Amino acid sequence: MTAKNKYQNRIELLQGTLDMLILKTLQWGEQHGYGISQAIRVNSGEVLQVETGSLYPALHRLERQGWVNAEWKKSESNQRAKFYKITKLGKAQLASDYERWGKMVATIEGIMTAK
Amino acid sequence: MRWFRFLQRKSDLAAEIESHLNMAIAERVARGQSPEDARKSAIHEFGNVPMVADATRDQWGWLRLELLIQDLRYALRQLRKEPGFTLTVVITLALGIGANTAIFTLVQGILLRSLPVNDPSRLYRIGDKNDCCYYNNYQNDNGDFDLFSYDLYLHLKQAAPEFEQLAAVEAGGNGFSVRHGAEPARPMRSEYVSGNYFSTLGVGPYAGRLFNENDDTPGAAPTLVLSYKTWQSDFAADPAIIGSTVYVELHPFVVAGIAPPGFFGDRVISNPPDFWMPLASEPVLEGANSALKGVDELWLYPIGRVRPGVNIAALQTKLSVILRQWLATRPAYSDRGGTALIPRQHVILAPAGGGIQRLQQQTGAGLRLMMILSTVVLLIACANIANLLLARCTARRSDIAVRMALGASRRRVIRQILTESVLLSLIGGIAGLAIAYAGSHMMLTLAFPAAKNMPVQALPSPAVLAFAFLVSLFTGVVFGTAPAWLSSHAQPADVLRGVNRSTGDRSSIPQRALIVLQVALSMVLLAGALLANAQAAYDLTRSLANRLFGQRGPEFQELVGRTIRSVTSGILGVALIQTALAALGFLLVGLPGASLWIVIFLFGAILQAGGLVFIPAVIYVFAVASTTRAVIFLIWCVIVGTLDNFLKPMLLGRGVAVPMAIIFVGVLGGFISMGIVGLFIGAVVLSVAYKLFLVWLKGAAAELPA
Repeated sequence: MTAKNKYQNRIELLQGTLDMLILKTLQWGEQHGYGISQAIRVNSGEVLQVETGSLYPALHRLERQGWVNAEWKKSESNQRAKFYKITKLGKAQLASDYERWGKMVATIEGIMTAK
Repeated sequence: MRWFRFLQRKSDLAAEIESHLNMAIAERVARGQSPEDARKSAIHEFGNVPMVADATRDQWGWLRLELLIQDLRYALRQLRKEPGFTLTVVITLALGIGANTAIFTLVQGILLRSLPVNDPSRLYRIGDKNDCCYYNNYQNDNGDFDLFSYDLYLHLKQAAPEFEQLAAVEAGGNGFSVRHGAEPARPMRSEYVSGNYFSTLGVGPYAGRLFNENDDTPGAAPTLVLSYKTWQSDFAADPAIIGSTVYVELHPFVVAGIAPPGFFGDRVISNPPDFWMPLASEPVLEGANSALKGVDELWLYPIGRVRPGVNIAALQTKLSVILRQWLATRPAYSDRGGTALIPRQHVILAPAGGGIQRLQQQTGAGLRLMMILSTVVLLIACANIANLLLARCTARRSDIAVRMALGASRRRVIRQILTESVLLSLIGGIAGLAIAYAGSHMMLTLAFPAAKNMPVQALPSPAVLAFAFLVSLFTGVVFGTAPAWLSSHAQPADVLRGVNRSTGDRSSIPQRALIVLQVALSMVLLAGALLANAQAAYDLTRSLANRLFGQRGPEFQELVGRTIRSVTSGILGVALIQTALAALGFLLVGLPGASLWIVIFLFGAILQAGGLVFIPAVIYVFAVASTTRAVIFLIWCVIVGTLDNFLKPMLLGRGVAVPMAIIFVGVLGGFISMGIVGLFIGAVVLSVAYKLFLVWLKGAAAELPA
């Protein structure tokens, strides 16, 4: 029962926004996949739970685009983990993504508040 | 290298996922969960590990290749699991592809090839027969003249300026022992040719030089030209051989040069020459027996290159006139009534450019028949493979259903089966290549047993190989994939529940059609093979009959032949007609196991008891089907069952001087004791015995009064 409620409380991520969220998370510093999913969950107030089935493909896609770099390092808990780091290209991408997002929100808002 | 990197990334991804899980577990443990619960919930939260890994790898663009490798591995495993099936398909394919490639290789080598000479269309030989080797009289009753003396050749050469060049080549060849340096002497074939032989044909040297007129003058230093093949095989392709001296029957000859590869002389014969010598060296080797100096000794074939635009018919008439004039001046041909034969002497100009023509005429018909037969073999092979694949796919229907139920996409399932079919075809193709090479080599050895220098290449032509291979690949793909596609469209649940299970053990209609096709093609093949050897078989039986029956041999051979024909057309023909009609009825009414019923009926019909088979069939149909259908089936059975009473008198015992009853008893007895073959043996034995009995009776009667 609880599982179901929890699921309903979540919001389905809009297509294309996951990349933006990951890039934004990485702007605060390099992070591994688990850390990224935790950060997004915490920062969304436990509403957004990124599925691993979306997260890892997205990370590898970003890496292939050259928007992030990856490196194996020791984590704070002394675990070996693959850390992702945003690149210059990634920062530019984030800026343009964010701009587009802002426009879209404004547009949708405009439609919703139209009289 | 890239593959190695892929593997590295793959293990990298596995490590990444593992570290993710470890961190999730560690955090849960830190929050106070038991390690076991922590592990469970972490894995639950993560989701399906292989699926996540798949989705991630998909981002690399490597998934396609990975799937292909998976398919290949699975296919190999499947093929290994059913070695019987795999072996059958591979052998069938290999034979089909191999036989075809071998035959077509020969067809290409012999029928479609022309001599490697320059502008062969202007090359003509004076004479169109293959008389050989030394004559000093008229060669053919109709006056067709094709062997010429050296004197006559020079005469023609000088009198016919229509020829740009006219060369002469020895009709036969010679075997000489050839020694080079300290090596042991080797037997080799040779041909004497005129000095302008190579330039007439338009052939240039591979190395060194070929003959010129100077080589062919009396007293010139003896030279010879080696064939490329001999140079390769007997002289180890040693370039130093050019200009060195070899000894032909202890006479020194200088090697002038090497003929180009693929040149085996102006005609393709079963033992082409290893080297050529100028005509002028003939007296050197032959001494007192020299044919060159015999004015009337006919031993040369003249081959000429006509000037462009020359009227061949007019040239032929002109040459015939010159020939007759020359003959009239030679006592050897005009004496002792020879003059009366001169007017009919003539020559025929035969195109020599396709110099291979003689061989083509000799082997053409046989090769064409072989070609048809081998095509039939390929068709049978394809039908066979199609059938096997269909049967296998039916057996694997539930396998496919399970995979579909587990979430495999239709494309994935079909691609898997496609991979398997293509893999099979590939293996078969490789085996076929081996058979093709061995086969064409073997056939060439059979065709040219004496040849050291094979005039035709045994290497299968790539085009032919590709064709045969594509045909079988196509069969594999179509018949392997089509059923898979069909079964992938079935509802997995239905298949698994066994809705179609009852049909699983019955062969499908396409399968039955394929079997019929296979049998029909095999019959064509058998008949073709018999026809190809018909003359030989006929001769054999004739001499056998002569041995057995002495003077009456031919008569008895006829009798045997007629009896067999009568049995075939009468008993078997009627039985086959009846069976075909009965089969139609069985299939239309939907009798289970119809093919078995058909076979039983065929045997029944041969035994003159086909009607008996109808009785259980009719009873079954009445019990199962609607009355109307059953009644129609009954009427059909009655018609078919009584048909033989009308057909048999029309077909049986026709043209045989033996009562039908005798043949009939022979057929029945033979069939009971020996099966199908007995049909013929029984009838033949009885009719021959009957004839012998009559002969004995008459003979006895003839002897009595005397």
